[in-house]
Amino acid sequence: MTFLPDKIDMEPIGVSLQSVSLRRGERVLLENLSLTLEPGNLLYVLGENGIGKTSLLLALAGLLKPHQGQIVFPEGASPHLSTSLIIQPDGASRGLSVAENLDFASKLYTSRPDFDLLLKKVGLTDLAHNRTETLSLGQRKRLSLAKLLIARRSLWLLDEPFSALDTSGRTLFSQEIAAHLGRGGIAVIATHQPTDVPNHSAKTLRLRAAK
Amino acid sequence: MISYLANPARFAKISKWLTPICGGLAALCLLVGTYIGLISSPSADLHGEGVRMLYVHVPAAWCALAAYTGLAICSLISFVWRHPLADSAARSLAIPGLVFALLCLATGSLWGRPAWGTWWQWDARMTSVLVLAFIYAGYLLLWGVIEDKRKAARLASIVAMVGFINIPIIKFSVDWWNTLHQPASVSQPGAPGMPAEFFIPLFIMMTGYTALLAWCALRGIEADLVKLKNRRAPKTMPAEIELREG
Amino acid sequence: MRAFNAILMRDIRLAFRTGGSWVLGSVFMAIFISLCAIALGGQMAELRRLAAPLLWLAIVFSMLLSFTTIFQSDYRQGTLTQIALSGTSTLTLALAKWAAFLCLGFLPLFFVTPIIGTFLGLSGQSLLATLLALALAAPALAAYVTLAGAIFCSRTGAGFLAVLLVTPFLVPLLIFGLEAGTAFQTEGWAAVEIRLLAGLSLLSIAIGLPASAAALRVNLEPS
Repeated sequence: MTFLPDKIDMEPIGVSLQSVSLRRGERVLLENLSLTLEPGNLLYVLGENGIGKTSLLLALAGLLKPHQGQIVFPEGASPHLSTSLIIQPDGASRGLSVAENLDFASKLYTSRPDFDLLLKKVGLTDLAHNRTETLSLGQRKRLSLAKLLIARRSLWLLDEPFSALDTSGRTLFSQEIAAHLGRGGIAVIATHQPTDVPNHSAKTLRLRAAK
Repeated sequence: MISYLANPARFAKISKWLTPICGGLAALCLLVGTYIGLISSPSADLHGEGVRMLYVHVPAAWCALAAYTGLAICSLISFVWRHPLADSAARSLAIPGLVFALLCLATGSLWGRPAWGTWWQWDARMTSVLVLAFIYAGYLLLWGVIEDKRKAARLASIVAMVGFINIPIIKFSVDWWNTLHQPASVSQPGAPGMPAEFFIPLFIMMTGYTALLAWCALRGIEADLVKLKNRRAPKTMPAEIELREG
Repeated sequence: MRAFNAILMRDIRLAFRTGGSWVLGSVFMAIFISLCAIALGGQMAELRRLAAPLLWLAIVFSMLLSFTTIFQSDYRQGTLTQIALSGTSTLTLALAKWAAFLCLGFLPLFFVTPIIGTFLGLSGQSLLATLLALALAAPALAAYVTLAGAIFCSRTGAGFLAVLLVTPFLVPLLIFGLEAGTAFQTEGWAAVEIRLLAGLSLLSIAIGLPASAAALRVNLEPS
């Protein structure tokens, strides 16, 4: 079943963190974080480098096990079925073209988008047959956004999504995030500089180094 | 049993008396066994004084295998329940295991000089022990080479379990290979039908070696526990959290 | 199944595109055999007797040394994480990578074996027997190489250690592989060694692939 990138169906879900503590090796990052995200919520995770923003995203994606506490998904949902993650490295395969990367993603997610429309939407139509290693950082971000749309997951976990993007890229990202929230999705954005997403109030989680 | 022992405090309480007992038993048995084995027991008709090598060689082979069995069990526990005590037990068993395997190879080789006329024969048992020594070496090096010790523990436990399934297969295949290529031309150390005067010192040495193995494992866990305790206090403070609803 | 196909096809496509490391294995094999022939004095009669073991060793080492091609670049590019997040199980991932390695790391070697074999005076029935035994053992060899790749996917420069780690597990395959080759020449398909080798191969896959999947799960966790 083909779908257009602006008509995405997905199951809206909520997620809650219950007294979560995160550690990376010996380093204690967060302790006792409780937080509930409901469909349509936007959460900014703010703080300096190395404070634990990315680790929080990894924990939500199910890759980093909380040291204590738990992250609760509703029945039938799980990190591996409900989340998408944009992070460095971005997972684009060297040696494959943009189109081939999207094709691979669509097969993994058993999702059949209209590739032409999708490429046009993220502004990569002209680069469809270029290999990913020739892309600039901003173009790779756009490719990641396209994969995000292919995956049709309800929980978007975005690590510094706006960095390396030009103005039109920024606008594109915030528009897509707004559309996702409008569909009942959730977005968690880790950044040190919040960018406005139109027509949406946001929760903010600020992490500061303890004195 | 596992969860009972997995509590560090309870473990410390048991190991406080168990470790000295194992150590004492090992020292006693090894002394007595060495005395009987080297001095008071008769030499064999066929092998002459070389038979005394048997008291070192056979228990070493036994302990090398026993240590691997223990290591594999600890690895399974570590993999399933992710308990750090099982990791340290597994790793502490690997070092004496490797030493015993090498000891077995060395004494076997010394034995082989008079018995076979060469320092080394591709005899089935010796070949199996050699492969076992390689497995130990790989296991220990894996611990050394992976920087993140929690990952190293889990990867090492996977390798240990794969190795444990493979050891009987390796033994079987090496026996098969050996009978095809060199049909029973050599007499092997520890052949069945041993008279009692050989068996008693052998038994004492066996007990001594096993106790030594247990002692090594317990000491290893104790050392790791001390390290763990010193590390308990987290090095960094958690970040301050400020949550604002939109 | 869809994910399996997608990963397999992608790996094959990538291998053909990014500078044929799959050819290197065959080149290694040719050089290894040449060195052996030179070191052994180049007597055809002698070489013919040793042909099968030498070919086996060449193939085993060629496969072992290419273990880094399986997971390492995907790990570094973050592709493994993305595959795991797509809901594909690590077992499916390991299976697909194993199948891809069979195609890319073993098949080329298999196809050049008859050519390289002739340089060792191997022909006719004995060549056929060697090829058969190799084909039976290859899935198991690939499974253990996949395991090595999964264990060391986050670590570069672990080549020697990977060889040390996996070689002991290959001893039974080597033994029965060579025995099966000899036995096939005299007894044909009825040889018990052939059946033993096939059984061993299945067992090794059953051990190696779940272990690879477990190792991948460990390495997917951020450190």
